[in-house]
Amino acid sequence: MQLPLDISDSCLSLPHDQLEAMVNLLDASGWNQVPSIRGPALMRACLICDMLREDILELALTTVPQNGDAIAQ
Amino acid sequence: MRLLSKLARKCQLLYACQPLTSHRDILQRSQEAWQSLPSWLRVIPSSASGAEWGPICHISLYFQYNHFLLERTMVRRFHRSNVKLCHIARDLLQLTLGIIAQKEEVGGDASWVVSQTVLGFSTRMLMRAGRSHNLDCLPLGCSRWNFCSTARPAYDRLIIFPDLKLYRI
Repeated sequence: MQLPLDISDSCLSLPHDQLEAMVNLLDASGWNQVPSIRGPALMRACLICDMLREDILELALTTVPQNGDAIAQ
Repeated sequence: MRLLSKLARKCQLLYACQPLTSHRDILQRSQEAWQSLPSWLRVIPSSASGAEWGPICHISLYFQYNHFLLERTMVRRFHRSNVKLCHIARDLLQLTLGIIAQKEEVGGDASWVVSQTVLGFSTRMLMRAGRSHNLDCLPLGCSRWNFCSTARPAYDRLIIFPDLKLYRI
């Protein structure tokens, strides 16, 4: 899943060139390089965490076969 | 009908034998995900400061709680030893107490709600472990304050004494 970029919602309504300038401020992974606690950064981090949590849920719901150790590894 | 049930059983077995994810895989991806965060987001309560500490500490708490859920799954579903889970629960409790301690100083209702929820899970886990290992108490340290709490199976909730800066289970 592609993560949302670390830019605020208000930037989305900017003219194309300004929006592009904002996107250029992001690093290769899509994080804003200016350390500032904003909603998008937090939501992005939470989404990463939630994707992992989904995998944990999947593991928890998996039927345990006879050789359960194989999954556990 | 019989054929259908046979087929369903086969599919079930096939699914059971091919889990999409594994414990080690999730753990590794979790560590990679944590490392991939910008350094300013990888903050723990003891080193956080300023009015924005709350949201940042949530991220740390979220990841730690994931670790807790993963190990709890291993204990419950795959009957693994709960020693590692106890350590994680203790770390989680320590982190949560750190957030609560910060909250008392700077405020933040959302942090309070989240930390209280996690606090319940980790505390209950530690108390269960105390019972299963026949322990009277479990030492809990907090890096922020040098106090010690004891988890007693006789109590069913955590008692907080903010004035004395003392937490007791």
